[in-house]
Amino acid sequence: MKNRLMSTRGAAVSLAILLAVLVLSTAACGSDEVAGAPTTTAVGATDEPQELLVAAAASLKSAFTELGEAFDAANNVATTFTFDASGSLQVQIEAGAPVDVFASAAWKQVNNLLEKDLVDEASTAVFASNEMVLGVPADSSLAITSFEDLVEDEVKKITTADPQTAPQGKASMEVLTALGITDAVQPKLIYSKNASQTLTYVQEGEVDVGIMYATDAVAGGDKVKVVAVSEPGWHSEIAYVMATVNACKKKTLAQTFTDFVLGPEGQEILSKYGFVPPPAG
Amino acid sequence: MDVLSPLRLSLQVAVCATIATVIVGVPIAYVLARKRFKGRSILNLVVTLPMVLPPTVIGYILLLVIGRNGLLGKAYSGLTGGELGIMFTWYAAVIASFVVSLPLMILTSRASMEAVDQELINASYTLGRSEWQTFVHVVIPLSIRGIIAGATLAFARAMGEFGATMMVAGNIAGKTTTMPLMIYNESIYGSWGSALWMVLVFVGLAGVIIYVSSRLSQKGISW
Amino acid sequence: MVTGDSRLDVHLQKRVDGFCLDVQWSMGNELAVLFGYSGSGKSMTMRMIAGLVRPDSGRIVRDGEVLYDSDCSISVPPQERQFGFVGQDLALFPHMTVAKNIAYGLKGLSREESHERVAEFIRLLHLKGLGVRLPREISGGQRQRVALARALASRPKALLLDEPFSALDAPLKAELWDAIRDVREHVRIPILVVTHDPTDARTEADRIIVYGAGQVLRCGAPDEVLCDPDSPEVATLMAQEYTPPNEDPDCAEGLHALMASLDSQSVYLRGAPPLGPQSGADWQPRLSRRGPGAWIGYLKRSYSIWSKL
Repeated sequence: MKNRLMSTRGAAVSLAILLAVLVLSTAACGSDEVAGAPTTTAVGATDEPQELLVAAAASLKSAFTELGEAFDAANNVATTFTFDASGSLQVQIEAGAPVDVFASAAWKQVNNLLEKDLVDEASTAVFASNEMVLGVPADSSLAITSFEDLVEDEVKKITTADPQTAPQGKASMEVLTALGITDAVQPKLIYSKNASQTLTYVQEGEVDVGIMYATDAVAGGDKVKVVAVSEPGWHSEIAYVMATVNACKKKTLAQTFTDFVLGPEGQEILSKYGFVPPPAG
Repeated sequence: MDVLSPLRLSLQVAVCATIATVIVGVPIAYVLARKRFKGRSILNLVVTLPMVLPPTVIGYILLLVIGRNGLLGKAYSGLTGGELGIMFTWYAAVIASFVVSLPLMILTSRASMEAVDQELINASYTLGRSEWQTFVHVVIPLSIRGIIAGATLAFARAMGEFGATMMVAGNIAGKTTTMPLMIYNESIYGSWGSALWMVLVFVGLAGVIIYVSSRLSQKGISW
Repeated sequence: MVTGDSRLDVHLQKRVDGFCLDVQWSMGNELAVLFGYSGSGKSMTMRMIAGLVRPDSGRIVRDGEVLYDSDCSISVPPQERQFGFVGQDLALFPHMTVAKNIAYGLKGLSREESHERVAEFIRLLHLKGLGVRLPREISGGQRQRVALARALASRPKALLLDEPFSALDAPLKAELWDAIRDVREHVRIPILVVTHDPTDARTEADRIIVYGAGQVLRCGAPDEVLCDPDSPEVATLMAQEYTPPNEDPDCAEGLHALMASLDSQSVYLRGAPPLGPQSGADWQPRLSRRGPGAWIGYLKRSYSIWSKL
């Protein structure tokens, strides 16, 4: 019996060693795989790439990851991103997170930070906007061509995010109100938790149609078909806003990044993912 | 796609957090199990609280504590010359995991410590051993199974920790994106395929560790 | 035999859940037996002497050293009282070998010295070859002796044994008394033994302290104590019938029934003649364990009290 206990102890020791080895060995690999670290630096470059931490709304993830890679390659910078809900990012910045640039999915969070004098007003810039679209599952046979078609009987289940908690939901309801079809459509509405879930419901065919952002439809890839696009006037302005954090020590670099996003290359990448340019003026 | 880095981070964070829960949790479990003192119920409440609160709320509270203006945050930047903060580093992830797994560790260890016969402890006292020595030589060996089970639970919880971690450590690839965060990232806009692969790898690894742990807790360790 | 100048003075009061303990007695360097029915406060006294339970008030002095004094707020912790204590359930550490158990209380000794000390007590208590075994691998009698060895290994100034015989059958009990006698030869320290076996009390003790419902009824050498039974406890000790001083027939009947229901097994102890039905090694006063006669007596008594209300 003693032998059995001893070998279990041996198992504990070997487990501990295994864990230590695993952690240490991947530590060596891990440090080379930091996202955004330039794999090719300009020939002859001897200085360490500068680091920049950008906090961006979750919906900007794909676009900004590609933007970051392009920016890094052109400027010998190692940009890292943290993606989360704009509200959470705002709270983190208020608590002193070491963020350099904040890219929010709405004005609200930037305004909150402006009030607390945590971001630089002069640096704020609207860099993109979005459209509301109707997305259907790719294999859908419904004959929908406009938002008004939502009242048709063949459309049985419609989803959008909960207007109480998600900005996407609020925008959807504004479109319905502008068109005067809210009451007709309400009984067919199934609220999802957020934009992501809206997309999932459509992708998986759980609903007939979803009211979503144009960018979500692009992210949905082959599984989602866009059948109608809203007019900008039907909903309040959707603005993606960037600002440099006041505590940032690399203001020039931050500005360079903002300029890049606003510039032709940045805008091209953004439109690739479904964003539309900000309204002029 | 980079699976190794989040995996390593998850292990690193979970192992450190679990060690911390053992060091802090075992003495607290002993005190709650065997001593009567004023404020005992308050201590009990405080250590059980993280189990009741949603992780995002815990994340927010932690933010207040380890953020730049928080108690710990200020202390840390004071120690490191004002430049560095705890936020957005893997230390913050360890703290978040520690806070959410501590109640599990304490609850489980406490149960097995309460089961230690008081007569054994009395015998130890009459033989001249202090309370600390009794704790080390009698109480811990006799409740080791509960302690291991508690550590296993704590480890599992730390591996899966998401909400609070994201709040205080951010979601920075290579630095603080642990496995659950990575899976979340993939699933945000529907790449469920890659997300599910990661889930498999993750569950496989965690499963092996937890299996070995539970075997240990069944058999105990000869002292 | 009484040797040396050691002295243990005990004066304790404690109130717990309506039970009131108020005792005062002394013993010298001898083997004293604390005798009384269950629930009379014997174990509690032992624990208070050992320092495991705090009295409400009182004084405990051993060889002039004050171990407890409520007036002066002195209370030496159990770790420092240097008593060897063996409780009713032995409390051997299940996760340690016999040798480790015995060595547990040793402090400030080198490895060799520890080994030697453990070996000394293994020899003394006939535990040869059992050093590497775990407590669950040895017999009940051997466990008793390990507990004794453990309590003695650190050379305490006195030994407290709380009902060490309760779980033993006759031959094992005899073995244990042999061991205690051996210990007494080897280590001349005061030994206080709690037992409810009147035969043991009569034959082994240098001094008997009789407890009854939280009070000391008698305290002294056997010849002083074993005369004129004026209480059931002393009567039991003397293996005699006890008639209470009042003439209440119900009361006497109850008590008679009590005595009659004592275990009728005779105890044969080392040549001593069997002592008849009233002396029982397993006298059990609790109502639930008495025979039907006791129940009838109890019911009659209760009815008579009830009818007078």
